[in-house]
Amino acid sequence: MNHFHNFFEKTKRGFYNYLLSLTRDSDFADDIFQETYYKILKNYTENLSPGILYKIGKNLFIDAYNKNKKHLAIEDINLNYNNEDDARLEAEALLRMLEDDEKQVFLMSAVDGLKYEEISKVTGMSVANIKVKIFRARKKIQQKINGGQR
Amino acid sequence: MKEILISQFIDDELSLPEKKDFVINVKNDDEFYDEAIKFIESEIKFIEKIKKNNIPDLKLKRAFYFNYKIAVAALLLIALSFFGISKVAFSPQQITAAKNLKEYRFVIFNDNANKVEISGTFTNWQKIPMKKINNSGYWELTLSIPEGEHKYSIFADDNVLADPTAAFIEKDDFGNINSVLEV
Repeated sequence: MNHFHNFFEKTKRGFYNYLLSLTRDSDFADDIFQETYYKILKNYTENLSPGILYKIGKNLFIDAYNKNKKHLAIEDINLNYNNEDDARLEAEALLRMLEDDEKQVFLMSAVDGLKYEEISKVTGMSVANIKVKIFRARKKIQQKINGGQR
Repeated sequence: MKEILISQFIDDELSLPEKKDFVINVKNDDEFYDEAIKFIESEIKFIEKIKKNNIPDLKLKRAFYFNYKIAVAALLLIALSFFGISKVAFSPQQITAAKNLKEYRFVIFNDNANKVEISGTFTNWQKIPMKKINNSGYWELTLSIPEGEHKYSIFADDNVLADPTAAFIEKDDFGNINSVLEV
């Protein structure tokens, strides 16, 4: 039990921000957030892994996106977007510049505090590869933050 | 590519020889020093932004958001009724019921109880046992319930539990605590 809660506490911030950057909508992100942890609780309590967490979350997003595609009007998205809190928009905007795998490993490391070795175990990528991906992600964010507003 | 050392430095991932490299670079290379400061400052700003986002609590209980089977069944029934197929063996009540039913998942945490049950307006106040999820201390039950407002209670070994994730809680005329749910 504590095992699952520790896992939730450790991963929630990085994972939720990941979902926000995918969905651009906090209700949608919340739905996927809840559903993903539910699936983990049901099927993966013996093998809690951020790798599985991100994989399930991404798949649920893709399924939901495909199913709802017809109903999403572009105007609605923009409307939603403008009403969002500025600070969050910024974090989301920064994350959206990253490739999906860069984003995942960067969030696991910088936000969830996982070591490269642990990330390697849960993603199957080599430590050297992870090191480079995190560096690239960080570089893009750094350039955007210091590049100032155009 | 020595910039990558800065990223590893931020993540506490430098080996001892790399630490030596890093310190030498900071001392001898002004550009490297500026870069390192920029990276660290931008990291601080980024983490501040991330921390401003409120993370939702875990509320595993909620209506399913893709209620596909029911939606398809409802559409089919409506279509059939439009074609005026009078011999179809569905009564009008069944059609309305199918249209307005929603799957709802109840999940509650209680790691002391031996049995957890739920009863409510949608079960005619009959107690229905909930199922344990693995050995996690969570109990769950998924029910198809009609749209609208419902009252329910959850019992852990026959003691009433107020559902912490319910939108409202109210006392009924008998002094029982009911949770209120809007489907």
